[in-house]
Amino acid sequence: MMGKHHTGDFKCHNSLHGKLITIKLHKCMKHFKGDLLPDACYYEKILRIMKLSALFLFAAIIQTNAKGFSQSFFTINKSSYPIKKIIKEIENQSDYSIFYRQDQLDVNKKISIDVKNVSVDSLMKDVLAGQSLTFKVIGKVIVVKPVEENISDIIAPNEIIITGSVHSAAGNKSLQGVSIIEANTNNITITNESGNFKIKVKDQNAVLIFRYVGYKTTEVKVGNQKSVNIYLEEDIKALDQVIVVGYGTQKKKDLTGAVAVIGSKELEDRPNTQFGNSIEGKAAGVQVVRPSGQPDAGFSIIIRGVSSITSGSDPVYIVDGVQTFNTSEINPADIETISILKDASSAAIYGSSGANGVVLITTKHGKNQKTKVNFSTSVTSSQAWKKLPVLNSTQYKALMNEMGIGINWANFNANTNWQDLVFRNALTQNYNLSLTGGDENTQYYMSGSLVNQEGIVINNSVKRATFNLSLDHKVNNFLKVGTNISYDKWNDIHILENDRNGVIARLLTTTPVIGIWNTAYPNQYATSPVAPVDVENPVAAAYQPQNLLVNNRFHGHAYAELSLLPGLKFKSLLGIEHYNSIATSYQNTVQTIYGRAMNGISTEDDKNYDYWVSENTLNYTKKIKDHSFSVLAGFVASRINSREVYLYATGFGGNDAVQTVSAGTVQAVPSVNIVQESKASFIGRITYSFKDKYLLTSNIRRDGSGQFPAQNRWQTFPSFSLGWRLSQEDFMKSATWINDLKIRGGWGLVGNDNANPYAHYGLISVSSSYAMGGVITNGYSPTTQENNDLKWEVTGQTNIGFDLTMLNNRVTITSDYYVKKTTGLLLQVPIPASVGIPGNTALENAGSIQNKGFEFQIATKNIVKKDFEWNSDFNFYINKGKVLDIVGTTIYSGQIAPSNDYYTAIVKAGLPLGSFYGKFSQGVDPKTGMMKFLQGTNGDSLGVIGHAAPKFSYGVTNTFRYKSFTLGIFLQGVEGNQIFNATRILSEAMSIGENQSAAVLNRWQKPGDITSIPKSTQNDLSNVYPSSRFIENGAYLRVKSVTLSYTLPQSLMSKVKVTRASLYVTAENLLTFTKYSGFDPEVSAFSNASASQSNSNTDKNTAPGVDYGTYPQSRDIIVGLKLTF
Amino acid sequence: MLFIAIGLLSCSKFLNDKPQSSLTTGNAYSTATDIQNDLIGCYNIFYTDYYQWQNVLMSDLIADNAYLGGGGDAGFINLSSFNESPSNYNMELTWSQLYQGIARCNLVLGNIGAVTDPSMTAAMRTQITGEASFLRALHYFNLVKTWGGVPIELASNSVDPSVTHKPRSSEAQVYAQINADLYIAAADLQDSYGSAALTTVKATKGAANALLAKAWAQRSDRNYDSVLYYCNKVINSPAGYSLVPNYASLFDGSNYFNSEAIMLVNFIAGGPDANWGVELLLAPEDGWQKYCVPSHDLVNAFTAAKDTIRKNASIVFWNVDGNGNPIAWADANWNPCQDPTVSIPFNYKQKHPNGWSSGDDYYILRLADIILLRAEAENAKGLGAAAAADVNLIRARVKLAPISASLSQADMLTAILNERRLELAFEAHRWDDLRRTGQAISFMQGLNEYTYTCNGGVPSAPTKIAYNVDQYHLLLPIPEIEIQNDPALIQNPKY
Repeated sequence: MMGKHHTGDFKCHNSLHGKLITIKLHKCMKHFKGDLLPDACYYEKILRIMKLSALFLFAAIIQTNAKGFSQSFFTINKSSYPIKKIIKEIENQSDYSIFYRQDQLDVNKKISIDVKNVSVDSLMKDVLAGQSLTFKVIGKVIVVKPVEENISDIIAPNEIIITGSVHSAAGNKSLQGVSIIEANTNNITITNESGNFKIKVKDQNAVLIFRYVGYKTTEVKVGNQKSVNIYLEEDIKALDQVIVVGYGTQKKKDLTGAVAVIGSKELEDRPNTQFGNSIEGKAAGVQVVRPSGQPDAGFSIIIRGVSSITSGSDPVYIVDGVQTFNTSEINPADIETISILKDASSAAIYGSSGANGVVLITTKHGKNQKTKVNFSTSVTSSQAWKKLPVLNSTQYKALMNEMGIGINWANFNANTNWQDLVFRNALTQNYNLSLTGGDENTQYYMSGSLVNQEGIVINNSVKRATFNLSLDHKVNNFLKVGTNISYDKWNDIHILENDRNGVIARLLTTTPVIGIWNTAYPNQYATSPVAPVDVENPVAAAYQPQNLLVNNRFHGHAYAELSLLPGLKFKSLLGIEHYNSIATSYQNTVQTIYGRAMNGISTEDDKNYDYWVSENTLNYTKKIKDHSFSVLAGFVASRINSREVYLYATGFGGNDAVQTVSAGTVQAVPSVNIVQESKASFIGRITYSFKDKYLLTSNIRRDGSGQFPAQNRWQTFPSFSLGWRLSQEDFMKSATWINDLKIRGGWGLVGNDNANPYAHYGLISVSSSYAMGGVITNGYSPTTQENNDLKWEVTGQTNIGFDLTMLNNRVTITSDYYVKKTTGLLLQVPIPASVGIPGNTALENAGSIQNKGFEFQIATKNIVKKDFEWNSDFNFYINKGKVLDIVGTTIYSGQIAPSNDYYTAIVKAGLPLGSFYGKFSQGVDPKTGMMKFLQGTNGDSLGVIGHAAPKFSYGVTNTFRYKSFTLGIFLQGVEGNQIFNATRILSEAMSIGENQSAAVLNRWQKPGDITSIPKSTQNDLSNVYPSSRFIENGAYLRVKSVTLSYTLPQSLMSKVKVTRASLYVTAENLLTFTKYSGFDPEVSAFSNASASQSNSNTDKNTAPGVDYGTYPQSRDIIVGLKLTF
Repeated sequence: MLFIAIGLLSCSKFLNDKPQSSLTTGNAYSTATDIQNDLIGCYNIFYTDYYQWQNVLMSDLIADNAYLGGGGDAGFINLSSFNESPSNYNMELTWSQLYQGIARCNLVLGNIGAVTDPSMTAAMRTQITGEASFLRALHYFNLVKTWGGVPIELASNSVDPSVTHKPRSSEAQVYAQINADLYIAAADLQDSYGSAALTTVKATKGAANALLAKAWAQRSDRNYDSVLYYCNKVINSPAGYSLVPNYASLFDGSNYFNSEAIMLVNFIAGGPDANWGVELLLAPEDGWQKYCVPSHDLVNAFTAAKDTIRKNASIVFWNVDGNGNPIAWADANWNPCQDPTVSIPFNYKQKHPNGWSSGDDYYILRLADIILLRAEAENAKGLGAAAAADVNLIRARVKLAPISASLSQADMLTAILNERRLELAFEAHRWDDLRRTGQAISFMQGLNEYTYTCNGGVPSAPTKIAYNVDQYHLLLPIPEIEIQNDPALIQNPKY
């Protein structure tokens, strides 16, 4: 691109002539509406310029293939042609906008021009030949001005120099690149990276116009002021917001699919360590599941309901074009925006595995600006927000005596409340440092972060360090290259939960009569004196075994983008993700019963995977009169190679100094699992719009997956969507209260190949050895059943919706309705055990699931004043899922102890996923003290006893700004759902010598007692068989986050060379309104997929909302500081 | 990059992902070595729950030899109290694992014919066919005696519901299948394989005959002529089976490859082929109460018989755990208030739990069992003297006085049954013996067993355990899940 030598500061161009002349309109676009100044169209032009330059910044970030920015060479052959038309021609051929004054440039002058592939400089010289005018190229703006005949040195006597700064009203950020125009002149300047500007104006009557894309234009009369500090209000109309979609970007106004966008505002609003928090409750139809309060638990996202039973239901996560398989490691501070592609028409371009939706994460990239340093830090203090009442030791002993397992208590005099010993005041430190900058040709962003986070349970913690570098470089006019690399290191100490013997369950069930350590053997943890004597106390469970995870993730890509012809670009990208994790655990030889029995246990699980993807796309955009279209064609290939090695050893001989597996004397055979998964795709997309009114997007993708047998490998996934911007129609013009209205509709197919690796093979294990006469002898055994008919699972989705902006752009509404149907489910179909395949399932394309839903999102600017502002966002969604068919079988899932036949959920045709299963409790029989259950033909009746799926979910955000103070309040809730409180099966069982919930104080004790708690029953679990007794109302409304932030005054900051400084305090989970009796209503014991893939997926998809000793969310107070230099 | 990518794709193998750490049905049954390894995989099923420990619970625990002890596992609580539910996961596991064993044999038998590898000799083919047939028969025997007639699966190569939804065969049909396999095994297999280590571990002609004897005895249309016939084939086998002189040496952990073992499940301590079941049956080593506590009735039976040798080999009384700490639990039958001075009995047939990694073996077929089975057959055929002679062979080894040859047939049966109980305690025979001889219900109802509770250190008065055994309890319910997945199945009565 030319104009390289014009970089740097855009200086003021004063004009003495300007004061005499009134600017005439050079062109007026009739569709432009809004609160325009009298000289609307003139400024509209500037606005367009600014939009384009903002778009340019975006483009640098996302390497988009939006309109051809790098078009720089002109070919024009006209004779006797008015300059006016030549200007138009230049504008058509490029993104340059030409800025001139009619009184200076005779646009009707006819000139002849014949140039071929000339630069803008040379072209403009030709155009202006013979007129005493020159020009300056500033970014994409060409300003035509009189030849400066030393005029810049002449200062009129009454000229005034005005300095000042420009900030955004909301968020109080300094704004760089705001154009400041002296009205009725071509005197213009822009703000620097600190938002400061300096301009000479003719006199006190001068009017300054502040223009910035996405913000409302503001006028200020200079008067006596020497310094003008302006707060620009955001222009609510965000139609020109550029949204990242698959393999490219689209303007919001052009979107025809359902895409939710989480911008930097939402990301900044919740200063957190994981980006899942920023999505939570912010996007309708997007459910963020936090399976646990453990800092290492991460989150999972469900988009428009679960549409799989035994396969994965997570969306695809794409970071800067490259898929990632690890979301916890991403530093949220590095994220610029997140686009969530919800419907098939937007996700279809990711046809394979797009069935569960796609989350596109765009990280921050460099900008053409002086280096800017951002530093932020925060300290968090977290606590358990609720403790549950349990029996004290007197009450416990009485219960044990009543149950007939009451030993001589003389030596057991402690009264321990384990919750006090295990929950702690946890501290988290978070540091972020980033540098961003560059010039016109090279931009960079680099960042580093450190998080040291403690869990609210002792010993539980995460440490994370991230490094991120992105570099974009324009080599010449047709080649742009760039790279992005990020490296993350993660260490955590994990504790066992969601288990009868896990720390959380043991908080409630460990006897209060003991302390932490065994009094007789002080190096051993104390255990219960009555059965079960083998289960460790929760302090022991938190420390033994010590579960450590160290992982390293390297994610990055390099790209090259070639501009071949005007509008035609080729981009090639190579991305990789390398991931290595080492999970070790060691249970020492002394402290715990099991550790002693095994004489120490050491495990090591090493996972390594390499993923690469090669994307090659050709993109052409063209606008011919009222027709705009773009075509994308590409080819993508990717492969994962992974290797997992698992080692296990026991027998450590009493010395715990060396804890590696190799020190054990009893070694298990190492298990080594190698997996290769390959994919290849041809992709295509056409977008077309007519008069900005009628919009069409169509994707097609042909996908090949190595998961399927050769004859079923390839599948085509098409999608179509249409948009109609009614507000552009003449008949809508009279409805002035509507600023923009678009109706969208689309249909598409997406696929899923997310089954177990090598799914279609009948796999034969090679590690089925036998001691053939004292000699270990190699053996084979089948593990899965062959299925040569296996093929793609296909999800068809229809979406209709509308986007409405109204009331002077103050209200924005987006709403969608969808029907999503997945057929040919990749389902582990239960088969008779008599077939003899382990697991008694076979993977088949069987059955179908439907999700229907409604989403509504409204954003309003309630009050917009200079000093006070109030904005609200509200979203609301309903999803109704239903299993249509699973080939007549029934699947039980969510198995819990104490008995192996205790399941919590059922999957059956006609039922939604998350249907709780059990007996129908009918209260306690006053005569016997035993639970009564509804009777069926064959004893106790079993059936659906509740539903985990909410009737609706919602999120409300209110942001208030008063001067430099901002207060954000974010509420989130679900309604109409139930929770299976299976923790109570443990804490109210009264069948063995465990401690119990204080609820059992109301237990039945003698005939005639009317109570909801049955009698104690030693070794009899029939009262706590999964039943409707444990189904609770799971609705909650949570004050998820309250943030008060204060931006320090500019005057103070400039003294210490700080551009911007703000302090904030945030409270997370400040208040929770719920009837749920457990630790926390945000529970999902089975969402932490970790065990064998098929089983854990089944539980995760089908048994949500089960509380089974699940680690609660914490209440956090965060104090933070953000500095920009 | 584009060219690399297109290069990759043009190579049509790009999407051809092939397993690297597993074999597939396409390459696991091709060569002689493959088939030999597949056969080892058939034996490997002995390392699952049924053959490692659940068979003891499903026999000695259901019957009168043991109490459940600890563990609190509802599945076994129900099993021990005749309150069996079709949804019992432990039984579902046994059902599945036995059929997995059958499937492995089916695949060997189904694929061996197509092996063209020249190194597969005719002798190898015969031998492997014999072993797989024997193992399949053994699994069907364990199925049929537990559940009655079960579906007969002989292919295991389809998931097509029209193939896999099999109805139950009758008990007689299952036994016919067992016999068919065992006839092949008896014909194909050798008497011995050179070393005792191999002869006792691999299926032999002797093992096939022994299983034929047991199958003919256990089926409801039992035929004691056949029992006698096959017992004699075992006892007179060229393999030269003989009782070892010292009963205790059978279970001391270092003499498993002996002349009395017809077939055993072989383990090697401290590795992939170790036995974790011992730890579940012999609790004290790691300090928590587990399953299978010898009953008063069994201890009394040993005492009444003055049988100290077998009692000491089968039961141990301890009041400290493996680390020398006092045993940390109360035992509802023996020590309700956890008095540290009171010793509790434990199943001691296997003595070395070795941290869940034992090298102790389990006998599947042992000569003493066959000798006593012959005695039972002889008695049934009216050959009291011969029966007494067989019983006395067993008694002489453990220094017990001979029984009289002139007992009535009924008394002789009682004597034989008691002898089997003492000889084979915790070897998973007791419940079969009681059911076979029609005495299960009367024996269980006649038991005088008690539990105790404890209130603040004071034991309660005894509570008599009620064993509500009915005829239908003699078969377990078919797992509920199996009935759902195979709609052609019909549940056993009253479940």
